[in-house]
Amino acid sequence: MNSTIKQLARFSFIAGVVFTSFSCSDNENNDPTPVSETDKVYALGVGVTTSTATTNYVVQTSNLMSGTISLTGNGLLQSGYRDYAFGGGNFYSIGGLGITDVNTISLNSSNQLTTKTGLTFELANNDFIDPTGAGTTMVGVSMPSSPTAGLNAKFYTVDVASNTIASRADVPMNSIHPSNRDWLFHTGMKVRGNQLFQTFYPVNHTTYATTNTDTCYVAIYSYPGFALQKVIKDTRTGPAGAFNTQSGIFKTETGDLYTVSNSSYYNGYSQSTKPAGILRIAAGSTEFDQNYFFNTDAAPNGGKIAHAIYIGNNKLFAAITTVTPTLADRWSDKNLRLAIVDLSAKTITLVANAPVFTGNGGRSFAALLDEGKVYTAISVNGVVNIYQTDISTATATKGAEIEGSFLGGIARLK
Amino acid sequence: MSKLSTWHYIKYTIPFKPGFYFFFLLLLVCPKVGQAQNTGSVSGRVTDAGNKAIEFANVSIRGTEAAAQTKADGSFFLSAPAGDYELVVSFVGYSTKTARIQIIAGRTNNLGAIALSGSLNMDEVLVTGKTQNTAIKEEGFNVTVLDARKLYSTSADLNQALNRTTGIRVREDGGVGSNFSFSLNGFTGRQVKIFLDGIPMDNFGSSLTLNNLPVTMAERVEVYKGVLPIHLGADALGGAVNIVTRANPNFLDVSYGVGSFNTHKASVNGAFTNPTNGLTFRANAFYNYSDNNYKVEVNPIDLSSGQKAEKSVEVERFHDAYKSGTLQLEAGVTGKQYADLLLVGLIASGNDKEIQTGVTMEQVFGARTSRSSSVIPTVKYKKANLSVEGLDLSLYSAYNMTQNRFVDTTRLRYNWYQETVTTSAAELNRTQLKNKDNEGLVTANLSYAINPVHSLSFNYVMSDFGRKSSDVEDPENVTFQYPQALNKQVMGLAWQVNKKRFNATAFSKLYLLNASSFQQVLDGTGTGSYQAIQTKTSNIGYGAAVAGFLLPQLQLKASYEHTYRLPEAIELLGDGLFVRRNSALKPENSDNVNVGAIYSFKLRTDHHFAVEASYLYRNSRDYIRLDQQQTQPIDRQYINVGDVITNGVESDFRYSWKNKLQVGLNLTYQNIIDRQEFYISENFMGTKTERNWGYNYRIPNTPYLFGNAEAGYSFTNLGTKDNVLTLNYSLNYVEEYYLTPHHLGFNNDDVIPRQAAHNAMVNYTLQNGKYGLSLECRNLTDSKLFDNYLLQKPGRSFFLRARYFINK
Repeated sequence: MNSTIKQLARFSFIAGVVFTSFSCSDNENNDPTPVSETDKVYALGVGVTTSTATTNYVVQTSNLMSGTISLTGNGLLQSGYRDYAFGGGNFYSIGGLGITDVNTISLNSSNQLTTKTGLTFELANNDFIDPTGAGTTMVGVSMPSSPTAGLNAKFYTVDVASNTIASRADVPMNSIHPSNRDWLFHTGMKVRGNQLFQTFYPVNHTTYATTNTDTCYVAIYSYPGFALQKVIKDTRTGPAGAFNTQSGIFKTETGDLYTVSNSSYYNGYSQSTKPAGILRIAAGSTEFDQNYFFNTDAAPNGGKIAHAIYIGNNKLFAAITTVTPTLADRWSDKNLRLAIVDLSAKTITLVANAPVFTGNGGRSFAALLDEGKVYTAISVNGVVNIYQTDISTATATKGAEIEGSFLGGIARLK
Repeated sequence: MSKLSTWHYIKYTIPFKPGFYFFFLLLLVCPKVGQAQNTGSVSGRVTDAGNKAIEFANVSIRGTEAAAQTKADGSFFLSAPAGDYELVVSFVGYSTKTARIQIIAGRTNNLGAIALSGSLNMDEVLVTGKTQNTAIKEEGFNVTVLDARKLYSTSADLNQALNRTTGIRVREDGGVGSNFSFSLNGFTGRQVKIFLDGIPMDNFGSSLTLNNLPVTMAERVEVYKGVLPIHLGADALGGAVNIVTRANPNFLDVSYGVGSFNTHKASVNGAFTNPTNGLTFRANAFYNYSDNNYKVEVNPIDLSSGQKAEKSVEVERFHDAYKSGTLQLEAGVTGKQYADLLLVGLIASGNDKEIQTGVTMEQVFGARTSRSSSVIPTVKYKKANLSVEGLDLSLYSAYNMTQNRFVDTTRLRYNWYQETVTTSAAELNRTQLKNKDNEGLVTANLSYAINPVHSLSFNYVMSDFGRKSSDVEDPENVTFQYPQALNKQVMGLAWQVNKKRFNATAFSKLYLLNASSFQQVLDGTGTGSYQAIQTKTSNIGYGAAVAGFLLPQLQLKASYEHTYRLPEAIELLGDGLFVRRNSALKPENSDNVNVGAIYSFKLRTDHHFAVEASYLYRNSRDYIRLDQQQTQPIDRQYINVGDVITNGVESDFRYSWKNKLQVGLNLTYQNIIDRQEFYISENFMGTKTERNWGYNYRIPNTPYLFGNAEAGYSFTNLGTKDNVLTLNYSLNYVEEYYLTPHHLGFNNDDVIPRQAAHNAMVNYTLQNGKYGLSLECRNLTDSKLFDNYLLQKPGRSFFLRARYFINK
């Protein structure tokens, strides 16, 4: 209302002086909230849907557990659609209008968010990871969404300190998955030693039909050279991961790799021919471990794992379906519960006090592991709240309200 | 010349036949018995110097409300209380004539022939919008009539001309031929309909859009805000623009101009009518070309490192050339027993366009192109007094065959320095998309004058649209194999009352839609099958408009309409892949209210003032938008979203002195507020409630405050008699606005900065406008102008134009 009055005043002023140039300041008195040295600082990528579009903002908070996280006069606008990644103290906001650019967001000396720009990728990015946790080099991959957009997968490393691309390599898409019927979509990647492991699923790039759901695939590349070494397959479950997710493969502290398959209609599959399940590539090996299979469909509290992050000690923090997905609800990403998945014990524990929810359409799972707790966001009746899950007790606590439509990414910067 | 326009319309809906004048007089005179004895009348005939009748000339008795337009034989008839008056006779292109007359009670004073002397170009000064003669804008509709004749000496296209009108913002991406969005009081896209002589031309291809059409093609352009008369039958949510082509029976208008950025514009317009047998030929031809190689400020990306430059640099656009050409031919007869007008015509048009940028200037292309061609046969038929006196019919129809192509096949990526790196498929997405559109269009208007006061009219508009797409680069795409089709019919019935100081109309419209498409049926095998689907809808809209003169110089008008914008086939039924059917989808609807006042007066004899102010209210609901909540690549749905309230004010001020000095000023403020608090989407994903974080805030990325100022001065009889030198200056102003909701975020940099574009023109005409030479400068101060976020428009540019014009 205030702004209306301001506008009316401005209007009448202009009408009066007739086109004389004048200047007016937007008095948004937004002195940043001071952050004390002992405070933690989290960065949140928040999407806001209004009648005309969805816009994205990165906002900081020191308190995830109470109050509201508001964007009114607060937060850094991120143009276009955005995905988020974390590494080397930077919260990366990747996307933009037309081009794929990267806003590298970190804290300045007064612990306020500050943005470094300049880094761009030539194709839309699918995944951007800190492969070792050292925070010195990031690894990214861009896969063309169809042969009309490109014929090569593009891998690159980014030097964190200079915020520039350090190396890049092209891998022909049809060398990874030779097929005249299917294209392939990236679903996750991990670096182990001098190799990079990538999960993908075959899909018709035009109709998004998945007619090949009998096999789980992992492509293995040299690292950091990104030369394709081989693609390993296993037919005990379907492809790992799903459309627009990065939850296909996880690495443990000891170097075991786990692939997570769901072939879930809710995440875009058009058929489902194998049980949802988890396979292992043991440390030191580049083949599937034939002695390990975790059928998550059949397990107690089980279902299809749509999204997950690795939380240490052979455990995943996951969003898992509570009912069998139906084809009629393809793409809906719904009927999800939070769960803790023990990969070695092959158990699934539902997180208590967390409601059934609908994912935000398959974008990367915004969840943060911090000091034994996992922070993620759930929307109930249009109200988005942080939920803090205590890993040891598998119990959730409802936290701060986010005044936005969805949480797209979360990281701790301090 | 708004005077012409509105009456022109009335002309074929309410014919003022001599017989009716009698009734008309009776009706007007009878209630005022006391005055009746004191009333007399005057009649006469308006001709040109060669004694040829002038139709549509404006005749009025100064100091009274008596005003009329001459009929085909040049005759007029006016009545007024007895006394001594000044009779004013004017017609565009001719000098205005005044004569002292005497009206004697109970008698008709026949003045005989009044000859107007030759074509005088003093009217052709660069002042747009309404003329001083407000008395003629009789209808209650909020209509702005842009007199295109006044712009014939400029190189302006219709977009540039309309952009100076209140309520209108044309937002262009770049230079000549660039993409644009036309917005009228905040409504954009298909919510505003564009007509060519009453035929909807929304699907006429990209070479027949408002930015391609030169002003010389039009006689006038009518802009209806919010409320549409039924003769423009369409499912427009927020108004319409109707381009009325030139109707002079005999003329030739040839022009050619050249300007900055290697811009060339040529046009030939002409008509020939054989006075003995009524044979008529009309032609419009025009050609536009520009390299659009203006300079822009960008942050180029280094293709080898992928780094975007920190400092901006000025570069020249290098892949933005545009050319378009159109030929419109019509032949037929006028003034026959069976037809007042019967014209068969053909429009052939095409364009070729290089694409320089994507959604912002950060995305650069060096090889993408698009092309369009249209062939449109037309038939126009008009007959007054069809079998019954007072029953008039007009029938316009067209068949539109348009092909649009889009090509991206170059395996290179460009940056602003025109450096390239090779790519594996295309610049962005390999395509040779071909869309073939076929559309049948029929517009019929039938009007019947029950008596001089009351009349009825009926309008019928049918459009039948189908598209076939193909792409040799993507032949498997199922959406190409399963096309959509859409048939729309709009019928309107209106009742009109015309009294001396007051007129009113009430109308109702029926909107019928029949759409067909295909939908995918998944069966768990992965691929599924397709089945044809069809849907029919009907909606009823209604409205009314009133206008009246409170004082002879003060007119008040008000109008209201409840209107619909019907969904497109893809919105309703999907395309079988990317978009899924939403059988619950409703048409967009809006309640539109306009209230306005026009006041004009004179100080002494030479100073004319006209002030117009209007208030408008819109409550628009159920906008059709692709569901933002769904992020999957396919199977998305169009949903109804939105409850938007617009409160706007528009004002227009004009001043002229002795037909030499003209000053105009207008300002538009529109407060467009999002009133949707929650989104409750009931789609196949179930019911989902989401808060709208734009609730109670202004809709972003929409100009809300803008205006124009113009001043012109004409030096007459310069050098020799009948030579005129005109100097013009104009300013186009738009207040800054933001791409995204501005209340969210801090220090957002997505500003579309305040625009102040100064333009100047010098125009010199010889021999009453037969020869003309003009020099224009746009964006005089070389400001960085933006209509859209990060899409810079041209800097300072010059244009020199020569014109030859004869009118018989």
